[in-house]
Amino acid sequence: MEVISTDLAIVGGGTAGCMASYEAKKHGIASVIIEKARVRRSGCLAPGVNAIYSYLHNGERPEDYYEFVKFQGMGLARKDLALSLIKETPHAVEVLEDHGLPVLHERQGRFGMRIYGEHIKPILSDIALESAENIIERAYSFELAIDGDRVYGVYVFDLKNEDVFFVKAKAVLIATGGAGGLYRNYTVPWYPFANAGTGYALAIKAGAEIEGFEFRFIPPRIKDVNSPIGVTAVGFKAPLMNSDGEEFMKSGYQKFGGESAPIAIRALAPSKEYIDGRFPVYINTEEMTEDQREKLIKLYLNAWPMFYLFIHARGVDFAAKMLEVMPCEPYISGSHTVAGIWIDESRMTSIKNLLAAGDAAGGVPLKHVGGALAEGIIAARTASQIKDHSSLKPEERVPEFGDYRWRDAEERMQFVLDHYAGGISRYYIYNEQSARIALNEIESLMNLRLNGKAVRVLETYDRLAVARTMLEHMIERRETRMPPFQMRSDYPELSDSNYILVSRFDGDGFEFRRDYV
Amino acid sequence: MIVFDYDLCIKCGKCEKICPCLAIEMNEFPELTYPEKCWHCCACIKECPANAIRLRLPPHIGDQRYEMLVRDEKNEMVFQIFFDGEKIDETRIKVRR
Repeated sequence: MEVISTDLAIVGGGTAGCMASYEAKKHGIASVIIEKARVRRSGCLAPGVNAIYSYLHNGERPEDYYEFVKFQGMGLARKDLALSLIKETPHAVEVLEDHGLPVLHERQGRFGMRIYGEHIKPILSDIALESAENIIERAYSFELAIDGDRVYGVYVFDLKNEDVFFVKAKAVLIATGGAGGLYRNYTVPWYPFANAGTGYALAIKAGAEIEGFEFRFIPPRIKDVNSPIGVTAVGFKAPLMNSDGEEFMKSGYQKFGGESAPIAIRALAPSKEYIDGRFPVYINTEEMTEDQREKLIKLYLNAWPMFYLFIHARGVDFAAKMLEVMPCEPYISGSHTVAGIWIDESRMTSIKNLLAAGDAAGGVPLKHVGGALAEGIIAARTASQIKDHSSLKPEERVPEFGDYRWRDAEERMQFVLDHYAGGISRYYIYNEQSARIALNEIESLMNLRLNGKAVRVLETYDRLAVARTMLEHMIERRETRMPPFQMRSDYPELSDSNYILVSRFDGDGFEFRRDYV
Repeated sequence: MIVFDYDLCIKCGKCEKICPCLAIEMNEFPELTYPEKCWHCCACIKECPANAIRLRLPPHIGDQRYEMLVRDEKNEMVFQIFFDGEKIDETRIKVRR
């Protein structure tokens, strides 16, 4: 087995990973990026992004940002992580601007910096190319190597020649993004299929602590095209409206903040309108001027170009309030909820020398792209302090393939989660009985050895591992804490408890502790 | 869904390499082997040097006669909408300083 040695092994060449390679070089340590696809357009920034959120503008204090994310997380946010992250984002944006990113230096939303970000990923890729010692593409990280209480490398499956190699490192950074494709989707998803929760699965199997997996992310989106409504709703002050013409955020959700309620409530409210039959739900753009329309289209071309095709093919007329809103299927992602691998302020996980950053790491609701950039920087800085080196040699490892078709296992998983674990078809609600049925089914699927294209098989294994941990968390939280992200019919009353669940898989079962915030 | 124009395709394989979801495979020509994994992100369309790939909406959400092409003109990206093969709209955005 080929062994590649480096200081920092970065699993995932996305937002956090590319930025980490930059900071690693700055601190004089070598890094190797292991990427499943191609760094130039991989991960959730493939289509671009039109703002860098989690950006601290002049005159604002880090504490203001913490208060903001705490509000968004309905009281649940890790202060240590929020405060350390927000200090780094302006620096990250400077680095991107130096490498050619058009930054508009104007505010978008509360903590956003407007950019023309269509090319943000090719630019991040340029940064990684000049920073990393080596970038290995079309390579799937499938297992961490653990020596006692510390990590010393990662086993990787080469998708090109279907061979296993080992990256030995003083530190390993998980920067794989979150997990999409768990639940059945009704249209093109919010989060890329590429993000299979690989980093979560690596951490879970190695026995690292996992935080907040009971909080799924369910984005309220423009129906069918699944594009963000934030830009339209917040940027252009367009209110949500039901089929009776009622602005229901104002009338029914005032105590949560009305139109600017936390993101969970902005997904809950339209769902309730659907359940009660007052659909379609619209985002009222009647007041939008021609200038604003053009600006809106350009914002979307920088972030979700399919929107441009959609408005033509569907004949969308903004003045006739034609844009409909509907929340889509749930995801697990540290970018928009506290779900992720547990980390401390230095971005170290509960396993020594194993770091996590970006959507893979938990603790901060609404971390966004800015938070991922910042955490990549912090993690690399921590890695530069690690001097010890394990003397262990890697063992022979190969992923297990079998004869059950991956596609059949994936379809069963998505169906079961949709029906029993609060998918769209159940309007996100679950209870102990239903979640246990799902857990039982997921565990049976995990016993199968899968067959098919290697990348698809490995992704399916990872999604199943993520789904099981998510269900364990969903069952363990016996209350409704953040509807619809976490909402139970057997404990319907809204709780204001102040903890996030933290789990650890010991190879057999799950143990839980509570992280009080 | 993406559609390939094999008359224009130069078989360079860039679309297979760039797809973030590994949904495209090169055989004699590139094919969308895993259509259910296509994120509609347009990475392949932007990367294609022959402008041989276009985007259509998933059939259940809209009219299949409309297509989008994106041309990479170095510091600008040009987004074009076609109806029945004829260009009906175009928008340019700046992507590098």
